[in-house]
Amino acid sequence: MLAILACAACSTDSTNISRTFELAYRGGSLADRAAPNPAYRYLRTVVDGRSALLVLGYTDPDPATPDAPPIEVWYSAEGEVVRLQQGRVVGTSGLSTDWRSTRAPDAPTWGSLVASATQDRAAGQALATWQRTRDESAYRSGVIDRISVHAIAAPRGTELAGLAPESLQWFEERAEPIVPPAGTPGAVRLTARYALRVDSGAIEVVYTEHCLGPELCLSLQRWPAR
Amino acid sequence: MTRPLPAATTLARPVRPSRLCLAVAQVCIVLGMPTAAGNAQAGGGATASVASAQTAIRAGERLSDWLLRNPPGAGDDPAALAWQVPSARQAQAELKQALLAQLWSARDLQADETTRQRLADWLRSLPVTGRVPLAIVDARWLQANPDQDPILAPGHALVLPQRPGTVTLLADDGRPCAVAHRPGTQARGYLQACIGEAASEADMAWIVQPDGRVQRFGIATWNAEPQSEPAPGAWIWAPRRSAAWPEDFSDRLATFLATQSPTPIAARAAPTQTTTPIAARAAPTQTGTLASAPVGATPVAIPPSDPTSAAGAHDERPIAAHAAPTDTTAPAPPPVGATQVAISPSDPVVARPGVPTANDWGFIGLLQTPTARMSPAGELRFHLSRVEPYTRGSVVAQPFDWLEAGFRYTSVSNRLYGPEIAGSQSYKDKSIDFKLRLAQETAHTPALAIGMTDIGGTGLFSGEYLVASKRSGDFDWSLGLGWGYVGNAGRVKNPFTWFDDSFAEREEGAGGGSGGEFSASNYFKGRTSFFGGVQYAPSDDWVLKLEYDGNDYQNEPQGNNQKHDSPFNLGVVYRYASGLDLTAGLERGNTLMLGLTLHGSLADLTVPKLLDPSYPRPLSTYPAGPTDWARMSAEFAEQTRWSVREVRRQGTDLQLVVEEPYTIYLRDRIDRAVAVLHLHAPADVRRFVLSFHERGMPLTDWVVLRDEWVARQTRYRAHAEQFEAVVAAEHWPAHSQEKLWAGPAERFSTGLEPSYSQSLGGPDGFILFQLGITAPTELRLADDTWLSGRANLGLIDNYDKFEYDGPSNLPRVRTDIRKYVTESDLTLPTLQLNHVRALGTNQYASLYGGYLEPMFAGVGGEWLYRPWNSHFAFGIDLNHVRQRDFDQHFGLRDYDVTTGHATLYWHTGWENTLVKLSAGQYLAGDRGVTVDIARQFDNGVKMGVFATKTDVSAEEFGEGSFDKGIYLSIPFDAMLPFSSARTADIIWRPLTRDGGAMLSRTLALFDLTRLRDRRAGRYAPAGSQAWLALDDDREDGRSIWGELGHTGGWLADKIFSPEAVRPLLLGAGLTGLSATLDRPLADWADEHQGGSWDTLGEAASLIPFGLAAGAGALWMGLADDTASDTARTSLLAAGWTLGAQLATKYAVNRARPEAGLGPHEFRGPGNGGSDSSFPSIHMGVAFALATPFAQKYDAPWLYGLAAATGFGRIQERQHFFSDVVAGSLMGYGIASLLVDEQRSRNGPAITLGADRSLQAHWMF
Repeated sequence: MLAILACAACSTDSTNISRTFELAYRGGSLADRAAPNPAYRYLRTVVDGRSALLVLGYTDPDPATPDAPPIEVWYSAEGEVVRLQQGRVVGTSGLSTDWRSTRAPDAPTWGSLVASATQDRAAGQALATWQRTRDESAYRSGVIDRISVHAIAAPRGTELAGLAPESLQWFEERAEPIVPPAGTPGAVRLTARYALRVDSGAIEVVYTEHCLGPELCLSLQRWPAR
Repeated sequence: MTRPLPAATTLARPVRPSRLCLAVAQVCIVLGMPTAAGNAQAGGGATASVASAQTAIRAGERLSDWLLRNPPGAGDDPAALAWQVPSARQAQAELKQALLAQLWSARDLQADETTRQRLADWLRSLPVTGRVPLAIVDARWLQANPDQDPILAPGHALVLPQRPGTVTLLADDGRPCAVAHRPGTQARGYLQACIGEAASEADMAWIVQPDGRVQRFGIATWNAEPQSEPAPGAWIWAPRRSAAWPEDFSDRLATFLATQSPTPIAARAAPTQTTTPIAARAAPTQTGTLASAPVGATPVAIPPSDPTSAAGAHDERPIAAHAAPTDTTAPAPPPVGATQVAISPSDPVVARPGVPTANDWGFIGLLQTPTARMSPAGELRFHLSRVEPYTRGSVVAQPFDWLEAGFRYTSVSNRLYGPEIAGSQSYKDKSIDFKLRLAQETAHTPALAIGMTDIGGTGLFSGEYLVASKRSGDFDWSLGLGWGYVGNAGRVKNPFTWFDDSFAEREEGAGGGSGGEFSASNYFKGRTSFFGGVQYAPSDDWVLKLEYDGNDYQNEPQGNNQKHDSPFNLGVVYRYASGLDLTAGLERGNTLMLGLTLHGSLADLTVPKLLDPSYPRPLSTYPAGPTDWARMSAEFAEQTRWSVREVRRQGTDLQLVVEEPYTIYLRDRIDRAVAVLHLHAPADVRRFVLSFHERGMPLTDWVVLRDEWVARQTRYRAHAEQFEAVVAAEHWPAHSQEKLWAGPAERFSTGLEPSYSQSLGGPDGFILFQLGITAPTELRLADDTWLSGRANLGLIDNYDKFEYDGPSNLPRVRTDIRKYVTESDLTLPTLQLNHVRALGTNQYASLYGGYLEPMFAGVGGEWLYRPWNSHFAFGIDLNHVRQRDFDQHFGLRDYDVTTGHATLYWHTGWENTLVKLSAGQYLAGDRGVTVDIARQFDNGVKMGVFATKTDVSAEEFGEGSFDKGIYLSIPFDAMLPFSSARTADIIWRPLTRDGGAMLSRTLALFDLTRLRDRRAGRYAPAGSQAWLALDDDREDGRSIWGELGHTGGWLADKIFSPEAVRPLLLGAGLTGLSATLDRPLADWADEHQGGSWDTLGEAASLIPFGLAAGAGALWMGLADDTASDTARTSLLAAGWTLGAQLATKYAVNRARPEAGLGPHEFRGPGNGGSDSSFPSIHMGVAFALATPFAQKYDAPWLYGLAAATGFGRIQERQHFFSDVVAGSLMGYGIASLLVDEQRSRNGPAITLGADRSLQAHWMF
């Protein structure tokens, strides 16, 4: 902002200057004010405090496991791709950190997790653990995480909008790097959180927070919030 | 600011072939398709071993469609998908031939014949595939990014390999080595697995990733940097230092390997059977260290090529695929026999970059001492440090990789500024420092830098230093020698006293009575001391520093000596965030130091344009139906902010006259413009011509080939199939054009903007500022005539403290600044009438009158000569002005002056640097010269420096001695989330004085006509595809220092060779013979002095300067590339001649004729050598400059011109005849040798082909 103030030859477009201030001080919520087209399905995504909308382009079968839930292919306005399977990020293309060839054949279904969450369990005990392999951009191949999933209370400080966190059931996945091991550059512990709407047995992941790497975390919410 | 990992780059540009008819071959493709191994020309077009209707390409379908029909299965490696295109094969075949030619003919290759043979055989066996790298192999992503999605055509091939479990190292003896891939392992780890401890001898690693991209990284302890790890299937080429493979060979080899399959190549049946099967390495020992098995010690046989594939086809699948896949959810285990890379905890497989951090002075260094390290070019640093009694605030910029410069305010807390000036305010000292890198670090030699502190200031803290730095892993060691303040401890004898005793003493008050003078007579004089230290970076966030200070603080300026308990200083830096460093230290053994550094790269400054309208996605279809030009114009204006004045049609050309088009990201804006035009223009329009006008003056035409532009936007093609779609050209007046539409001109504009101004470091307060609102307004009376002005209302300021008026011995043209900013809150800084006009093709003129700037009103005009796309421009401005009243309203004061300048603008073509040289009369009536040098980065940010010297003496000028300053120009496009044509200009002057003051004109023709330079289209947002592509456009080849080094080596080889004996003896003989004429010609000169003889002599002595200026201009591109290359040779020859002759002068030390001691007075090495008569530098340089041109263009008259210099030198009694002869022979000899060197580089390389043909290869 100091740069604007220091200028003696600034833009004459005062409308854009005011919008710039709005962007700078309100956290860039332009996307929240966009009117979605009811013919399409949207995800509201927030990255670094700024929101944008993704639109559902395709629903593809899982190429590795035809019986598995389908993979949703979401697009940004810039042609970036985010793939979700049961609310979990299973792939991206065109982002600063991409995930590819993600495989987690032993990942439990949300139904089983919801059922497990109601059972008595020691504090902090994982509901399930499994292994996930993936490739990342910058040629990081064969990355393996061990994931444990925990039921958690509705957290504070999320990017959830338009819904009460307490009305949803929350889970947290903690990914521990195995290959390469923790301590290797880029091998970091990643955390993902999910908010599920459980309604008469129907389970829908309405909100996801996912870090693709130490520098890129995003939240994804079905939009508009219902 | 942390730069992202380097993007993969293609190192060698393919040679663009002429348009050939593509062979109409069988449409082919398939998973795991074999390639033609032994047939270099067949590429990937061999018959498919497994082909089906499903997997076969359908001509005309996109890659995304094919991928959707053939989704990659388990074990496949889609990132390694190879798209092979016939049109790419020729360039790759030429690359392969160039590699082979270089293997056999390059003089600087040290590999033995066996190694060359092995490598050549192996290279010959590799196919020319025509592979073109793909962006992201994801069908859904490609569908949304059609410009990256190729359309498959007959002759194309797709190869989708299985993911191998190995990485293949190509050792520098030509033997491949496959190593099991291990995630998290960097190149050095694989190198160690293959060659053991010898890996420490490798400095650079070229990694050819499976997707066809080539990366290059430093991997030694002295140059390790963050890097990508090799993916499965990658190639690594990391030659050892001792193997001395030339860098350009490595670049070419890596580029060629990128065209190959990402699998370990099985042994091929080379004719000589010298190729060695790939040997997997032995498993590591139980201690976890790597076994250092020699090549082939425990070979594990890799299945050789299928003997039935006589044409060279072989199983494309890597050895990993021979093992049955065990688990589709886990990566395939390493193949049988392949080695697990065991990384010992002590192995430095993690590359951490060198960490340059600021010292107390704001420069890259330790604490009090500098190092030879530099930040990347474009970095700007704000630094604040406090160590009793000094508080230092610095602004330091890095305009080039090799130059660091900045200004600093030092507050001395226990000294007053002076009660008559500033009451109780502490003393403030201003200074300028710089540091220049002399040599980059290599494996064996340190980085070397020279620097100066407090130059052009008061000189209180002036010092000079030479410093060397050498890195070993996380430790960075420095050692230097300092003079003046840097070496104030005086612990060693000044080494320069060996040459001259005067170096022992340093004059006090080096800045002159007024400060600001460059006291060259003081440089490297006085107290001298070693300094040095080490920094250790154990992590990315922490840096520890230990240094030995060259200052003992017992000779401080202002008698301000400090208690000094230890020469060792200790410090720690915490990198709180990517642009914020916090420093704490203990200095002098007893004093706490605290520091804060804000830093970032202005060259990387970019902001996504969230507020710009969405980019209209081009379609491959063309519109039908009539065009609504008004609607097109409106959309055009919305996308580009440009005003369309006219739309014209001539044949298949559609021309738009666009007013005021300048913006920093011109190409980006043009793309938006063409996207709109394509949506609307009739389908039969083939070219768009954007005719850019500025204030009614036509400047340039940008011509867009519609079909090519659309193709680039809607599909991906091989480089060989692309043409430049957008070209800048000289403006051509319209002929016989049909006007389709005319738009209205915007006649009136106004707005409200914030304004801010400040003054730093004055006696009334460190910061005096004003925040307000300004209203720029413009009324256009015609296209080329307008009334412009600006009103300003100050809202918040602290000018109530502003009381001090600086003293002046000159008319107060600037030093009344206090009155101008405090007299009135509402001011009218400018209000003037302007008119511009193009006078013919390359000339422009302006007239203006009114209130031209806050302090002066008047009338003026300017004329500019600016040829299209020239490196040079020349202008003259002339103004008569009168000083305005302090309230900046309409009144005038009595003082008036005529001021104006002639300015030469020179775009050097080097690091995008512009030099302006202005000479004329300034506002105070003084006359002199201003030099302005600015470098502009690829994102449009500009860093510049200026200095003015006039006929006003330093005493008359006052404090500071002469006018100087630093400025930044930052495009708003780089800072704001919307496109803007404006820039933020920030200027810092250490002092406001009246000497050397120029009129601040708002209308400058050079800025107005900037589109006359095609380079105006080169700028792009940092990080964008266009910005990354700019690196590819950089001129290849060595830097000037590299050229000097290379040519110096060549000269040394030649001069000290047996072949040189005869010509050296001949030269000595000629010189001896010429000595017989020394006395007669000296007598002749004695008798021919005065009048026209002196005039002729002086003129002749200027010939070398004229030759140098001409060579410089030709080198800069005044003529063609041949002239430029020849000029480069001549300038190098002149440089080496100058050096050789200076050394000879010192050695011989002959008295000049004017000394009257005769021709036989030789004093030998020692004092006065620089004034020695033998040899004549003028003659040497003249012949060095003339000889390359004389030989290249067969122009012997140039020798005569150079020889005429000798007349002048003899007539002026500066040289004897033998001096002149010797000088000319040296210059001629050195230049002739360098001409030979240039010929050898550009000449053909003759090789023997495999088919016993004789082949000649030229490299361009």
